[in-house]
Amino acid sequence: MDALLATRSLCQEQGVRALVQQRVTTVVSELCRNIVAYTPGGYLELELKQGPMRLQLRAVDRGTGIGNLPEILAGRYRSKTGLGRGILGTKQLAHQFNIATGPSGTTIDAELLL
Amino acid sequence: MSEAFTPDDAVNRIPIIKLWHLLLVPIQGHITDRQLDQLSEGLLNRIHETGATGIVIDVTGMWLIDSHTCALLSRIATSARLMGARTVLCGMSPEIALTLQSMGLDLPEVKTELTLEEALLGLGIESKSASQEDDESWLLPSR
Repeated sequence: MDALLATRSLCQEQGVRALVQQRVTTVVSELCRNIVAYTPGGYLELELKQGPMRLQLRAVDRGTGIGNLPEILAGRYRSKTGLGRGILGTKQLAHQFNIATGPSGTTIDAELLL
Repeated sequence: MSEAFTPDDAVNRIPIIKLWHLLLVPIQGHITDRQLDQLSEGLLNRIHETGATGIVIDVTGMWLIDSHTCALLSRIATSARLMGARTVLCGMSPEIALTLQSMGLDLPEVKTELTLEEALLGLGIESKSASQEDDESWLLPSR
């Protein structure tokens, strides 16, 4: 919740329009949920970059990795909780997206144009 | 995100308002997973108690709907349908709708309407004049 409010405040301070604010906040929600709900812990870093203005996000967790990542990224994975849809949704909202996963954790890098 | 029950749970519970044969659920601000879980259980209990045939979930006051929220709302609607109640969601902002669309997310089992008025009309509440002299209209359950 704090991450969401902080992201929203950052967007408002930068004069980001409402739709982009919504997209950015939703991506932060998805990335935080992956860490909090499905892993033992991790962190999210946000970095504001200029020219053009964009937000760089890095989500790192200490989970056991995502075994079915190809299925998730291909949109073939279905779950009752929405698990998997958030990663694919983040990829679709992001200007640039990269995910690296393994038995010691997952790192997601996403960049959104503001 | 399972957490222990706290006294705040009662305070932060999402209201479920009985409106004739319907249940109205106005959701405001940011909701937690716990609140959504409570809502799911509470709504199904209220359908059982009241025999409600429809649910209106008004998300006008929500500022974020993510994939997990979509999944939970769809599950609520599916469970409600199994108990004979239709679910209509209304009041989604253009920003949320466009974001969900960009993410490829949908709300299966949930009918959507733009406004609360349209949602109520869709579930059998109709506007009628109180009298011929009085032009003021009222919402009444259709018979």
